[in-house]
Amino acid sequence: MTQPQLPALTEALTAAVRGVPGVAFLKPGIARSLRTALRRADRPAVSAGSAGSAGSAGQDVPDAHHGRHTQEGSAGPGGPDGSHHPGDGAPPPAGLRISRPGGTGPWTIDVRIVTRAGTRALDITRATRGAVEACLATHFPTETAHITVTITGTV
Amino acid sequence: MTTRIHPPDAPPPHEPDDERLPCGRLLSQVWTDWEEGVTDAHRQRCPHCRAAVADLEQLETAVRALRDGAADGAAGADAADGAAAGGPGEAGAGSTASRDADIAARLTGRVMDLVRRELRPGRPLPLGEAGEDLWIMESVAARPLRAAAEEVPGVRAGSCRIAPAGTAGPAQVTVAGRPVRPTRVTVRLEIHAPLATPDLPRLAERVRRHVQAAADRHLGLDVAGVDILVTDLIDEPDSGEKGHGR
Repeated sequence: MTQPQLPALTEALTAAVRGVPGVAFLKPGIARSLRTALRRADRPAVSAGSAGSAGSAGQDVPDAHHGRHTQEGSAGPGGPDGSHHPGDGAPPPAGLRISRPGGTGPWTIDVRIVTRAGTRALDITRATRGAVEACLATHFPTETAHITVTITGTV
Repeated sequence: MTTRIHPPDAPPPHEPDDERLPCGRLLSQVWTDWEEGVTDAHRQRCPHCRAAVADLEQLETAVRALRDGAADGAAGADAADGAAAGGPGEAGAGSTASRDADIAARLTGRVMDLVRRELRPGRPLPLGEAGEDLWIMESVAARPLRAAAEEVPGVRAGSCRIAPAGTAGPAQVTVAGRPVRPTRVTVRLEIHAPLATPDLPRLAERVRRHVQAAADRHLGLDVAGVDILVTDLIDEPDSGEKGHGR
């Protein structure tokens, strides 16, 4: 996999993960979540997930899920989830990290997701891994990767 | 009337353990090393350590921007209040300051909630088989288990800690260079039981069954055991009401 192809893979994987039934969105970065908190500071906190909701990012759903606003601050230019283009200085999306330790060997793909309530965690994580594997097989059939999927919240 | 020792919304008291990353390193140590400029080959290559540092860097950037923005806003509000003081605008200055204080309080609350979620999500828990590398954060897994406990009438769930079973430290066995992680977890759940419960062990067993069923149905967690600790006895609500499940 060459560097210029990484942005395309990032975008493809982002779309693949978001298309998994039961996945609400990729985990937003804390900077994006803080910007959401700042924008809502002038309104009372009203969220079904706010009480005792450690681990839930429910109140951040609209901006984190759609994410189609102008990049701000450290996010820089990028794709819908603030996707990262190596070389342009923009940070990678918090919920999707792609790396190749040492520059050779299998890629490491770390996926962090927020799922919808009422779904079974194990099933969703397996489906997400399957979607990532299918995406890799389509775009980069000769590449190998180790895939990690973590549920960081529910909405 | 219901008598409670703890107020309804009091958080359950417990001290969260230091989070350990999937690579085996303590999150707190990774952050400390980053702050002190200490680095090693592992931290430079490990995706878990690098992700932890990236999160902390983003937090620092965001908080700095927040602080700078708040300082600018406060300076502007002070200037506006100063211009209005001594004339008909005094009342306006007071209401502006009150509104700003209200906004600041809500902002602080939101930020602290966010920081708590981001920095203290608990430990990652294994899902599936040993080689699958699928995880769920402890704080996310705890919620349906606590709700399941409260399906038992009169029971209020408190602290719910979940840990990989049979590990006191980083996994030592490796396959293809990656540690083989445990696949089972143990649950430790504190509850308040109804004062009139005639058989506490039987009640605890009933709660245990609900929790184990929820772990399988909602999470797919492989639970090795569920420890139920009755930490308080409370007056039961009117008969026919369910527990205080959410």
